[in-house]
Amino acid sequence: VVGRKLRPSKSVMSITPTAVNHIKDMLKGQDAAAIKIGTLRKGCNGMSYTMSYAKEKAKFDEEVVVDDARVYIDSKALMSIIGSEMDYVDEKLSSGFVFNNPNVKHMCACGESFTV
Amino acid sequence: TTLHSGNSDSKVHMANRLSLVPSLCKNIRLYSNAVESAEEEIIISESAAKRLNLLQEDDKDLILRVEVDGGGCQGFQYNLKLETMADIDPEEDRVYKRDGATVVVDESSLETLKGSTIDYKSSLIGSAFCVGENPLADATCGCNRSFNIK
Repeated sequence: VVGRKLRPSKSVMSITPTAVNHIKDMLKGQDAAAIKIGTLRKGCNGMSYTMSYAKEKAKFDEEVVVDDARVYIDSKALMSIIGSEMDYVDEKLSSGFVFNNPNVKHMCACGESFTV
Repeated sequence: TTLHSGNSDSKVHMANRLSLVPSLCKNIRLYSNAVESAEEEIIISESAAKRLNLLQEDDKDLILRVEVDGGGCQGFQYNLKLETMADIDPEEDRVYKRDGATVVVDESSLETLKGSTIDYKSSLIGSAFCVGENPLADATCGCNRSFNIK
């Protein structure tokens, strides 16, 4: 390992502490290794986020692990999610994961549908 | 023979239709019962009532207001707010209740909301109050927040 160069490697997506806690809660007692995030062609702005439990990482999926909270990003969705921050918002009227996505050009009023 | 088979076909058809009738009637009766008991027009789903009950633990006077505004990608949009009992306008607002949960709709919004179900939907990605199954809505937005009337 002599002459090994240390390169900074930034994870493709950051996860806020509230989201981390929520993902850990979700995975507790589930027969799943991670939460998988993807995108779906849906909504008035072309795309929307999907979320599911995943047992194993598919080929080319990107893995983000923060403090036991494991998230896989679907390889097909990677380019539209890269650089995002995954947050969890808990409000009385609605609660859920939100993505602060720097790639988004247009967004639907409710933030569910977007264009990159 | 063609005529005969045609006849039997139509008999089968009639029989099918007849067998459908009682179930239809039952549905209609169920529906009208539900409408009567829920003071007509707006239906509050069990999950929405439960969520409101949970929120009422912090604030006893909490109500859910459902409004319709012009806007959104389909022409109209739903606007859901949490308010308190003091915000109810007795002249303009209609009040709906289920298991102690209160939903308020003003008269003008009611025109495009009649028959709708106020729901609290949960999925992996999140959960939220929403207007589900509006019989007057024609096209809805992907997120179900904006809609167009028939």
